[in-house]
Amino acid sequence: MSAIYAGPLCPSCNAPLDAATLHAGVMNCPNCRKQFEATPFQPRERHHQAVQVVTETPDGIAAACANHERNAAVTSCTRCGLFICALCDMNVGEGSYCPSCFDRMRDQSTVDSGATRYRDYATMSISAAAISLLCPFLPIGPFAVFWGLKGVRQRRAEGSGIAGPVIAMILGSLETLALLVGVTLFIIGLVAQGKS
Amino acid sequence: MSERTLLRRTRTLIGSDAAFLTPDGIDVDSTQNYEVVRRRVFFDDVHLVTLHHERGIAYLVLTGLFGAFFLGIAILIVAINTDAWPGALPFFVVGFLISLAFLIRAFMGRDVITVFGRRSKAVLRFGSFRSQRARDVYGQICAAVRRGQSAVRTWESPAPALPPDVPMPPVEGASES
Repeated sequence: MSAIYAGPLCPSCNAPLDAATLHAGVMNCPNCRKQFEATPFQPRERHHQAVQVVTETPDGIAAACANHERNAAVTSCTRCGLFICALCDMNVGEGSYCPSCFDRMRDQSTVDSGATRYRDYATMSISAAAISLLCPFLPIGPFAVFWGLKGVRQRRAEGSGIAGPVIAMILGSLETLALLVGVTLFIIGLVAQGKS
Repeated sequence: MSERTLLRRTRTLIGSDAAFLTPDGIDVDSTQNYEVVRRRVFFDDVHLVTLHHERGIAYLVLTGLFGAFFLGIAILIVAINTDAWPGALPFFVVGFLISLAFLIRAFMGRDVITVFGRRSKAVLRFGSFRSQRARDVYGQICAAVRRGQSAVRTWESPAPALPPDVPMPPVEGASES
């Protein structure tokens, strides 16, 4: 996704396409003349209807939006309690949030449906298991197990296969076990040597 | 998380991209260094869906150069000493495989589907032998977008039903006769 993305472009040369010239079927880009098959759509324009009359009560002006003083608040932020109008309401199916709380929660990945960046624990677990196989003396097995558990949970939520993280967890457990046995034998050996 | 259907997974040198069809739109998960970045294109935001054929200049240059390099080393070893052909064999095999990838891409190309939304776009690339799958996915995406956008229109602005006893306007030709 480009930061300067501003609508339909030619898929070959990325030149902007005029919406009026778009038609269904085979098209030629007016810039690069390359051919492509297109299906244009006309998405509905979004209109947010903010209630612009803030009612006056005997106590004064009530329930005005904290960001838009002329708009009436329709709800309050679930996180900070700020009164917000329909324009500010960031409802992603988990409650209404004000824009600043929503940004904060998205950065902290605490709002699931708004998360756009997260860790791939399954791949982390597989890599840890592979490293633990190559370098058995490094205590990486527990990490493979820990990340594997998180990876299985993540893959299940996505509906993807869990074979990779499960194998990584088994390998990680075996490596941890082998490491523990090795360390124990080493300590026993040291003690036995000390006694003799 | 809502139900997702995998449309395409593309692996590159630096990571992988997986495109999923969801009830609301298309999710593209790009994996880079154990971090997944998710982008979404919602069906009710889609302006244009395109399908085109490309060869990919960067891929052709890279595979062409590497293929020529490894095949060149193999030829050089054999040219210097014919008896040293076992030493040239690994270079030949690697060079041959890379050159084969170059030739397949150069002659067959690959299909690319691009979904342009209002604020984001999704790109799905298919291998040289997956043209039919690309066309199927293109049709699947177009049908889903059409369904998604018509569902929104129906929900937001239902057409008022005409009462049955509304008199129709007189037809000019009919009144003259």
